Amino acid sequence: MDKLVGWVFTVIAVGGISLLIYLFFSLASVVLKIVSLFITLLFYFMLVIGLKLIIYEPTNRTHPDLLLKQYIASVRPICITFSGIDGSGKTTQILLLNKLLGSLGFRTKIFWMRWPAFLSYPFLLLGRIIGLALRKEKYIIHRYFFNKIYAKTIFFLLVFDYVVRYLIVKLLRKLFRYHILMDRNILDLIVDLYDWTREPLIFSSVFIHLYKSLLKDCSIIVFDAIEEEALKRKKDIPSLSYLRFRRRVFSILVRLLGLHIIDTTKNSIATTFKIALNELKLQSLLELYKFVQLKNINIEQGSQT
Amino acid sequence: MMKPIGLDTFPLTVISLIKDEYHGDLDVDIDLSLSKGELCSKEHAFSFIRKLHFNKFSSELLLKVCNNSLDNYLMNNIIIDKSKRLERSKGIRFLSEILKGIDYVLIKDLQVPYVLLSDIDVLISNYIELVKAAYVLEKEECELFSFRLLAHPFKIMATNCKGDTFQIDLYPHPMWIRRQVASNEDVFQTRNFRILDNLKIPVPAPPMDFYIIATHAWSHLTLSLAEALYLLKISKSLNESDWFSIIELAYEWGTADSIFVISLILNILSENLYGYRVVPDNILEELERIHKASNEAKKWLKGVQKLDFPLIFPTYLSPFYSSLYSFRALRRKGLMKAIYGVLSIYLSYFASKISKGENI
Repeated sequence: MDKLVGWVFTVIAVGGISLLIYLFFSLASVVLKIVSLFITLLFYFMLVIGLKLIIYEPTNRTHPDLLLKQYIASVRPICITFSGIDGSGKTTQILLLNKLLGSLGFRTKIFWMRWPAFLSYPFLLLGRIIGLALRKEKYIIHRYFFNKIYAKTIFFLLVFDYVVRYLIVKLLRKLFRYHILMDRNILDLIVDLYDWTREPLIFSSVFIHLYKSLLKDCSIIVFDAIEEEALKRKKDIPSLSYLRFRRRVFSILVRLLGLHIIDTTKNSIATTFKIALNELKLQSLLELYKFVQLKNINIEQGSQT
Repeated sequence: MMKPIGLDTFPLTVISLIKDEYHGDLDVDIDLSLSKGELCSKEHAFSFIRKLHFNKFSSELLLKVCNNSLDNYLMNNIIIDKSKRLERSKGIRFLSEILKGIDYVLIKDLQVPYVLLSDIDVLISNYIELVKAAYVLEKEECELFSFRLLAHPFKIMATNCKGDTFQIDLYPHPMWIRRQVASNEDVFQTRNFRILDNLKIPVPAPPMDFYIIATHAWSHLTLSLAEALYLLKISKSLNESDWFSIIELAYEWGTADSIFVISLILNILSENLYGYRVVPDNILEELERIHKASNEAKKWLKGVQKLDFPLIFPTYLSPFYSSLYSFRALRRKGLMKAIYGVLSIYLSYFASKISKGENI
């Protein structure tokens, strides 16, 4: 019955569209042309319904895996970004999230956003030459605050580089429908820049608005841990004072932007991950993951027996 | 002032047959409108059963008056209906056991004696829960089907679970064909629990239950006697704030026309059965204020001599006036939503005409 209705719809729609195209080119009045275009749209809608009825059966045998795929395809690409001091657990958590989303079939891409330098490279090199950036053992110490003009230039250039990089990431998300996971974001760059330049503009209302607009499309979580714990977790942190300074700046930024902090000091990786998923309202994905895993195990056991 | 509209022979007969099982809710003095001999005659019983089925009632009702005087064909019909009702109860028990970790509510479950429903309708809170439910049902060896055009692509129909014949429909939204009438949050925020065979089954709160059944009947252009009696039963338990919560929802989703028309019908029914109007006048006035084409609905009811069921709504009310009203109402949510709303009303209309409400 539905196929028959589909054919009737399609034939009427094709006839109607052909007639209206003929009328469109033969009519002299512009108003009538617009009216004929509008009616064509209605026939187009009819054609779509007709074709759908012919091509697809109203009821199709389905499967949970197919539904899962359909669901994943229907989810608009999301952006999730984690921020926080070194050793707070951002990278571990983003890798876990990537694994979870990937195993369910989501197309994800991790972007590391701490170092967006592109246009600013020549200036950074100049800083090394004139002694504003020094290598001390494994680390480079940036002391651009000694030269106010240089500090301002570096600040503007690096923020500009970040904006360009962020726009490219957004474009990639649109083009390839990736779900974007950003390890660090503008906040981490700002914390670094404040350490290097002590530039008061960083906390001006104009720039706060800019940071907000750079974060508004993303779900953001800021991780935190006390300095001693963070130092234990990561070997390449220069010093405790380095972490202390950054934690202070982060707390100011979090307050200004109204963000939420997850303290990871006493939590295990799994607990932090569950808290983060709750914050992101993605906890149900974890349950779904368990279902899919359980099913895969059952299939494996079945094939072995 | 509208002239009083009486009830036709069929609803009166059914009401008189089920009133004993209604536990006081239908404590009215109605005698059988037809004589036993007339009702149990082969010709009449056959058409009576057909009408019972259209009104979502089981032919078991006939047994109450006809006992052994029915022929084999009719007895077979009664046995089939009885087994269908038992299968459905079995299906609900099965669901409540397997969907333990899943967020769902049982919808469109008419609590009327001898009701015969073709499937078990379940609303799932979100898509992820729905996929989980699909995995659970697959594990129970159910055959799963989905729809393309005449329902949401995520609506799943499950049948043949471990060889049983009951059918389960999993809804991703309160959506009839392609017309959504409420958000999932609206239903889940106020859900209740009903005890069925010692099992706690999540169901919508009474106002939401009323809203869901009324909008569903409207979108399928037909109000069956079972639906009308159940709506009447819920209406009696609603207080003013419940009614206003229904009006609020109807206003938000552009469904005030369905609530208004069904409220008028319920008032006719309650005036005949109890002697008073079950939907308060201030609620009807408020609905009239929202639904501008209320005069058309009143005119239609004025023309009805006696109320018979299933009640088929005229085409000019639904979809014609309904689409005009919905466009105005949904315009608040955006032009695209309003256009989609109107198209979905016409799709519902054509689909209901084509499939007569089966599987949608």
